[in-house]
Amino acid sequence: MTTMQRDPLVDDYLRRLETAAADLPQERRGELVTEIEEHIEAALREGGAGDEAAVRNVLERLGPPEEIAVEAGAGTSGPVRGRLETGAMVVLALSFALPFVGYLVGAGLVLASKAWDGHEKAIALLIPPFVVVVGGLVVLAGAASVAEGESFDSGLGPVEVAVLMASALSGLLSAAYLSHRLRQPRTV
Amino acid sequence: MEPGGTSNALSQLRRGALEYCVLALLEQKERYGFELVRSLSSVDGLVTSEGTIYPLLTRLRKEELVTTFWEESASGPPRRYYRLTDTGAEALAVFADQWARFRDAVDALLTSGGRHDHDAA
Repeated sequence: MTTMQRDPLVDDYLRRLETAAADLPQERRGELVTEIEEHIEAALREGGAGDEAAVRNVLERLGPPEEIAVEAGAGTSGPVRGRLETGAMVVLALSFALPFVGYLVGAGLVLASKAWDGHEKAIALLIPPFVVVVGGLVVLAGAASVAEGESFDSGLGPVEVAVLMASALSGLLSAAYLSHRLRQPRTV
Repeated sequence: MEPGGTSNALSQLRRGALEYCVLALLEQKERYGFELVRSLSSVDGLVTSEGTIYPLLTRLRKEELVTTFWEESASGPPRRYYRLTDTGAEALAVFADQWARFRDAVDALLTSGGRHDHDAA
């Protein structure tokens, strides 16, 4: 945009800012970097001299890029998805392979993570038991009505199959919810 | 490092007061970002890192305490100017009133009255 040859110190500074602001929404990050870039250009234009000492002085007055990024809200979204979070979601999603135990392990991992708040953890962990309980009630009601019709055989009816499927997939639902919440920007 | 988290208390106070200093500067006239930043940092002890003022300006804009507009500049690219909104003016008036009371109360305790009584006890 400008004809001014940019100092490598400035490039380096803006790169650090970009990195520090990595978890901000893209639009917000771009705006912040542009503003700081414009500030540097204005400061150097005003100062007259564009020598290294002048550049250093401008950058020093701006302060560490990491501090600017934090002020803009970077780093407040909690730890970005790490191994713990990925593990928790995978275990929950696959908990149909090892019913109950899979859920308990997944729940333990979710509770150990700081990436979700208490509210999100509660919702995620209540999804599977809720589905199972509701499913159980549906099966009981179905069995009762079938028994009345006297055509009840001990095999699995379509209702039972559906409930078992739902129970198995409830871990998947829970994992999907957790994954979705991780992608939401936090406001603090 | 100051005793008992003095440094943290001061930085919190500074942070809280800074946005109203921005509003106060804008009450006088519209200013562009760089001008605002330099006016604030010319006041001793108010701003430690100039760069942190830009995120503050964004927040003020989102809260609709200020609005922005672009204007051509004689010496360089167009500048983003900041202007106080009516809401901003109200917020500033409320803060100015509360601040005066707060400052007086703290001053009263810090100077002769409160402290000497305490020392004598």
